[in-house]
Amino acid sequence: MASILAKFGLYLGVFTSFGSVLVSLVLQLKINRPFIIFFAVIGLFATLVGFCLRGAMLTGDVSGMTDPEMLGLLWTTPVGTAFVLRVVGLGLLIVGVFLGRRGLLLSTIGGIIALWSFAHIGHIPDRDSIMLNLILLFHLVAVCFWIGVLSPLRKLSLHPAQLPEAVSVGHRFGRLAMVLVPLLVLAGLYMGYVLVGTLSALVNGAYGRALIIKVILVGGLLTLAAANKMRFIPRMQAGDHTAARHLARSILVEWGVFIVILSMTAILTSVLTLPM
Amino acid sequence: MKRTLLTVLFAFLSGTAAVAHSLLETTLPAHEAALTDAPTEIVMNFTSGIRLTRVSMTHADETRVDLNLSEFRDFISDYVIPLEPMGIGAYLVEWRGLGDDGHALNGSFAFTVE
Repeated sequence: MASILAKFGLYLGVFTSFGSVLVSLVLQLKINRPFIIFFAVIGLFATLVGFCLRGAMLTGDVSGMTDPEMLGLLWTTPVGTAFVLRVVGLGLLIVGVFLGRRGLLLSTIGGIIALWSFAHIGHIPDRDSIMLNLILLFHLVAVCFWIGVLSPLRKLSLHPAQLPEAVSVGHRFGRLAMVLVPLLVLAGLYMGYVLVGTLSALVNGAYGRALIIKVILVGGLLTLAAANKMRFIPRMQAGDHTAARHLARSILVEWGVFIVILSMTAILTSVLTLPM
Repeated sequence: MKRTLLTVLFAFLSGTAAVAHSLLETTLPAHEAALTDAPTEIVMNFTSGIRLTRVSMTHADETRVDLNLSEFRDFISDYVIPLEPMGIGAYLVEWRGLGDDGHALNGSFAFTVE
């Protein structure tokens, strides 16, 4: 349970902090420094706890969390490499947001380094395919971008004076999402196909079933996002403040679904075995 | 409602859930073997390199000892671990280790001396 929580914290911290950096850079939004740092620190904390928990898994009790021999042993494996990439990446991301808009590039490099750590340990890296690792990296960048836009768009929607900017952000994100989201889903489905392999493994195994739940949740998320784009944004463009409040509420629901999806992913990558 | 949803979720995910990828191929004594003499060593063969970090043996559900792994410092696939015979009864060997790919591994096997 503790390792699932640490994984969840890691995903939430890395994806949200890097996502906020990405949307600040791409959509030219104001940098929300406290927000980015808060989630980057969650990511760093989860990285440290996750590393120590792996030490505990080696001894079977909490003594492993601080056992120098166990932690030193982990350090020599891809777990140690992933730890370094996450700490360095999130560190650069934090430094970057203190350097203004020019620093966003440094933060982006940091975010990509942190994301690349996921290509070092886990089910996808086990396949030893650079193409799959790149697909995973793209999938994660797209997820970050989507998560990153939620908070600024909601914040803008809640202020009547900022309605035109909310519409503009919604439009620009919607245009990018038309390309990014289908590719994100395709990348996810392809990775799922490579990992699970057969329809019977998908339906009969716990891993496959968890994957089905994740896909259903993503389907729900897509429906919400489509509703935002087709219904609320055009009405907001016509000056409808009620639509803006609906959008803000819809984004809150999207956040909730994302949290469930990240939890499912933490379960998938922590405790469920792949079909043989 | 929340409890029902969680119950359905766990029922849906039950079945093949496990903590990690177990790669133990064969053991000596074999799992569930019945022996006439207590063994003086156990053999564990893994499908790939692993560094064992803890192996404990429980005898007759009472005495539990950690086996000495101090001479094993590398990622190897074949282990021969000496042990002190404890007489007749049921033995349970529980092991933990780290695969060279960074995965934490664990498992157990049991045998009986009659």
